[in-house]
Amino acid sequence: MLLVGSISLPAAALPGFVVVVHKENPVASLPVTELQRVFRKQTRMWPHGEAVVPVDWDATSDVRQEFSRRVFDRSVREMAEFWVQQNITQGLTPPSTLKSTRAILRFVVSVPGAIAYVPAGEEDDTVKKLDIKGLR
Amino acid sequence: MKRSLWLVVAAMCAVSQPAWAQQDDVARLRAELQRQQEVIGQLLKRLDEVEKKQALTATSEEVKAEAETQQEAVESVRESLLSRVNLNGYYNFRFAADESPAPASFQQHHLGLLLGKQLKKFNFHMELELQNVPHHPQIHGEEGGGEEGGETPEGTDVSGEGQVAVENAWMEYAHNRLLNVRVGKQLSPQYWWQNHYPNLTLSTDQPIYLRELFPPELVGLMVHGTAAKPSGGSELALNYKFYLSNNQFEGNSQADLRDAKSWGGRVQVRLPTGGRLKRFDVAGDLYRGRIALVTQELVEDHVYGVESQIEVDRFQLQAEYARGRTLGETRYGYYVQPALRVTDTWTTFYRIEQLDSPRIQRAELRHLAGLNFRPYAQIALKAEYYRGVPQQRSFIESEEDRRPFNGFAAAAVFFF
Repeated sequence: MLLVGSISLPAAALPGFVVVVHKENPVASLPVTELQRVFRKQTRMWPHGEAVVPVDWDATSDVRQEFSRRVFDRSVREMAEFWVQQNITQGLTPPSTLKSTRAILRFVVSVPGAIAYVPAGEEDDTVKKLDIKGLR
Repeated sequence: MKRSLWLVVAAMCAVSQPAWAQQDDVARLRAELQRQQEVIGQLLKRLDEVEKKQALTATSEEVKAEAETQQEAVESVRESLLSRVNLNGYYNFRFAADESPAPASFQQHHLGLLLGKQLKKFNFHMELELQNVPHHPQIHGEEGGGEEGGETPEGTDVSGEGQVAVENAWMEYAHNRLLNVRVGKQLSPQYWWQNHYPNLTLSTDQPIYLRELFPPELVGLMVHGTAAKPSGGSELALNYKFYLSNNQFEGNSQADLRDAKSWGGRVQVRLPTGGRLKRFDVAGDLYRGRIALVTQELVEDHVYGVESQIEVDRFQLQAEYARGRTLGETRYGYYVQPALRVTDTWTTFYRIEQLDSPRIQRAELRHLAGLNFRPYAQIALKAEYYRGVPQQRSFIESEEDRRPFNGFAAAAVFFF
């Protein structure tokens, strides 16, 4: 059986992390496949015309490992190999990384096209939470 | 005398206060002292409050300054994100020895520099490749230009100094997921050509069939895109690529100027994944072009192929098959490569591959088994053993060329 059933959980109910964007971003939800494309830099523009700027966590962080496993079904190591491949064949580099919730929230507040994720419960009202559909 | 004493006592009594009057004074002094202490306490309290207010004022100023600094830092990061030029590269050093007449050799196989820039919907990518493969006869004749897959005419460059080549130089406009346009020099869309880089392959050398079927690269225009339908945490996707390009570009600028163009296409289906199935791709490829013979005469060349990449848990399978036809002669080749990722860093693999081409008088079946150690995503150490078994074909006349041979190769690869 190859197909996985579709589930939809509100961002606030996720145990591990919540995906956040700039407060003025009109997007309210994303399918997990679109979230994959965003963090693989395959989707470059938001529907409202803003450039997508994904920001990731440092590779050693727990939240990065959980995000990688649940969104990509890959380990952080496998994703590092994916980015070597993308770099060579497509000229694409992985998203920039930051090391703390505070830094990430600050970045998202300041950059209209930014998208990132933080551990559940550490988000605040300066950013907007996205509903991710179909998350593993 | 007695009278005098009584007078002194009477006078002292007259100037001194009684005991009850002294007690009243003490009580009054105590009350005054207490009141003064309360006043001092209130003053200290007010002093604390004033000091706190002063401290608060300083903190808010500091916070404001910090906020401005952070804002600048964010702007700086944003600036760098949007305007950064990416500079990367890779280096591949290889050792190969087999039972051919060629001596065992160390080869500085590749040194590649990658330059890229992304600006909203536009993307530019360039790869400058410096190759320095010593041109031993075996490599010269059989490898046919090494990783590039082209044929190098015998008797040319035997200096061993290698060559510098622009392997990729293209600009892409990504309109949306369905429509992207790429122009410039680019790799052919088949899986191995797209991923033939030493960092991305398990083996030190590429499958022999690639030397004679699809051209390795093209100069022209490619339109590509993806249509997808979500399926759980995955999706069913249809990728397409169509291109129009010059004929037989490589090493022959005259062919660039000819009117006849080649064209080709590729359709790939990416099946939904889930559970242990991490990848299931199937694709079909088509190429129609003209190829210049030694006489520079252009003749029709048709190639088609199928391929698949499957990944289940730690097991990977890659396979490609292609068949070509030129001047009534058919050539074909394939490879099948199963691999097992034993740990995050160790992968073992086996590959069977075959090429049968009257055009270059070569028909060989090859077995290859190897280990790939990747301590970091950017570094790979490879070792492999291979056995080539020439096939019985009328166009192979030399007895030496009919003998099986064994070989060993190892490589170190660094991506930076």
